[in-house]
Amino acid sequence: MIAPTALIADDEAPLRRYLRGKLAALWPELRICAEAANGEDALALLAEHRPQLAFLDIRMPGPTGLEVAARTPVPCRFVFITAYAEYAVAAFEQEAVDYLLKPVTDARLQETVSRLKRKLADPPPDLSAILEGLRRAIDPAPAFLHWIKVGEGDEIRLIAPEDVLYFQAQDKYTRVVTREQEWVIRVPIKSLEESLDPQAFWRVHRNTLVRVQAIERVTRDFRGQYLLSLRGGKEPLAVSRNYAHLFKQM
Amino acid sequence: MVIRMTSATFPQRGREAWLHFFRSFALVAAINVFIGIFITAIRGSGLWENIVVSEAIGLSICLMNVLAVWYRDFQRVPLWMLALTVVSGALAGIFISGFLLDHTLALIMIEQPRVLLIVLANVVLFGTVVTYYFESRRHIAATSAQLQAEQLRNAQSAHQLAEVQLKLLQAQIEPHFLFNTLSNVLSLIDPAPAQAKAMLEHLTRYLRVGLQRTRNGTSTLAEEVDLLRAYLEIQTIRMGERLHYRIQDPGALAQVPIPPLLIQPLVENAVIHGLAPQISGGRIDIQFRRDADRISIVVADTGRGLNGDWGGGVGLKNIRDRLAGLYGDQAQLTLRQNAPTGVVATLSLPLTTEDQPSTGAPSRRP
Repeated sequence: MIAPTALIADDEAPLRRYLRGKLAALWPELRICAEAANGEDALALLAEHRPQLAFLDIRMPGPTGLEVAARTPVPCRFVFITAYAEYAVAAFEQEAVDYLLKPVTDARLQETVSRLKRKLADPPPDLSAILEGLRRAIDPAPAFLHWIKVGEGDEIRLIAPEDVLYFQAQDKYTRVVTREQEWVIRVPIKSLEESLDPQAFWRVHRNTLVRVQAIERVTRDFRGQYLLSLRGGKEPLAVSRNYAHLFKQM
Repeated sequence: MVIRMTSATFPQRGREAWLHFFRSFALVAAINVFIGIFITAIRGSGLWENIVVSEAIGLSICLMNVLAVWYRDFQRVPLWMLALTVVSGALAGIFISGFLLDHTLALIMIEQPRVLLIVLANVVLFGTVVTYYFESRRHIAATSAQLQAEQLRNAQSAHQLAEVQLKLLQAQIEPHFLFNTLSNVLSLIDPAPAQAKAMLEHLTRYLRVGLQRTRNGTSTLAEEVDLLRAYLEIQTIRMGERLHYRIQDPGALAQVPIPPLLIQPLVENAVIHGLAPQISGGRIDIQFRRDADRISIVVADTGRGLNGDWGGGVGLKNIRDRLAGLYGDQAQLTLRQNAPTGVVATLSLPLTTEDQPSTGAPSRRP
């Protein structure tokens, strides 16, 4: 049987050296055929050396460890290296994927090495189905938008939803109105509504999405239509009949 | 006519006030019947007429009152205005009842001023008592509604404060950073003990400054700069040539009080989301500016920019929540795209004169 080969990918040289030294002690037959300092190099070296094993740091410049595994040009068994991340570890355990925790200890590495030795004869499992789940476990997408990107001349500026008084649809565009300024963005109001916290932003009209905390007072005209006065003295917003129920039972 | 119904303590008072008025009108109408019976009992004239007259007068006064309350924007109506509503309501009522009752009473009163005076005196007496009763009741209801709203607001701000403290606790130890650093120290101990030692020293300084500061609740710009330097030194050992940084000497601003660990998450974001994912790395520039009574802290990086995860993290949300808890509307955090790449994050905080360093400057307090 020919000696197994492995690639180590980590952006920090001392950590690569450290892992290489530990592996040399615990698994002398294993030959480290390549070291990569970022995701791009890792992909290139995988194609070049076709190792049976690859130790991939998850957080690397360029493609992350998980992305490298997803885009691997050759079949390979992957071992992910992650620093403490409680959700990520749980996800790895659940999917029975090989992983190492930073700082890598001898005992834990020994365990992983034994398991890898046992499994090396089997073809590497197809991870494509579970990688996306792992990625989400490590970087959960924010539940709601934290920032709205607006263009200001050549610049891009981020506006926090907490600074917005209201959004107003204008044809295909949406006006973003804050106390001081307003901008026009290309995002339709419908998709804004879906990605903002429904507790914080209320649809009060077909074309208006208002931040509830920005409402200073609610007035009614003689027809019974509700008008919202906003903090910061902007013109009042009309509440259409379909949304009047939001203010009725208060 | 546009009826503008305003309530200071949105949302309850608008609707509540309406219900209150309707109830009051009904009650006034009932009281008027009794007044009519009472006047019939002592003066003898027709019961029906007396009831119509007292209804007309009473309801007119009531209407005038409602108008006064509107005019006062639901605040307490002053006594003179109440008296005015009683007199004007009474006169209006007298003439309305005059029209309703074939002008007889109105004509009698115009011909005999003494009758007019007696009626007016009666009306003012009854009207003032009843009006005063209603106005007090309304005011008590409004005050208790306001009190409830106040209590709710207090509870909310207490909740907010607790949340801010929790977030500060979360900010002080980022486990990912801690374990990464320890992992580095471990890997450096054998091949590069001097570097491992330096890294441990930086980590110790970072933790000591960070933990102490968060316990104290306040910090100075100089102390925060110390913390940033310890953090960036650690990251420089990790990233090597991929990270360069420069922190402006705070100079005269060194002793300015700054909430602890407010700047650090911005720097951490610049490293983790800006520079680290870039193969070529980049640089971070931290600057401080004073504009009149404000201080601006600018963290600029040359990383991946806003297209990456820069703005996605909870770190920024925490900063914003803390700013809102500490300064209300007075503090801002703005993010812009840096040219040609990267992010410029600017923290702008108010700077009160009491917060100024006392070195050399004569104290304004006795």
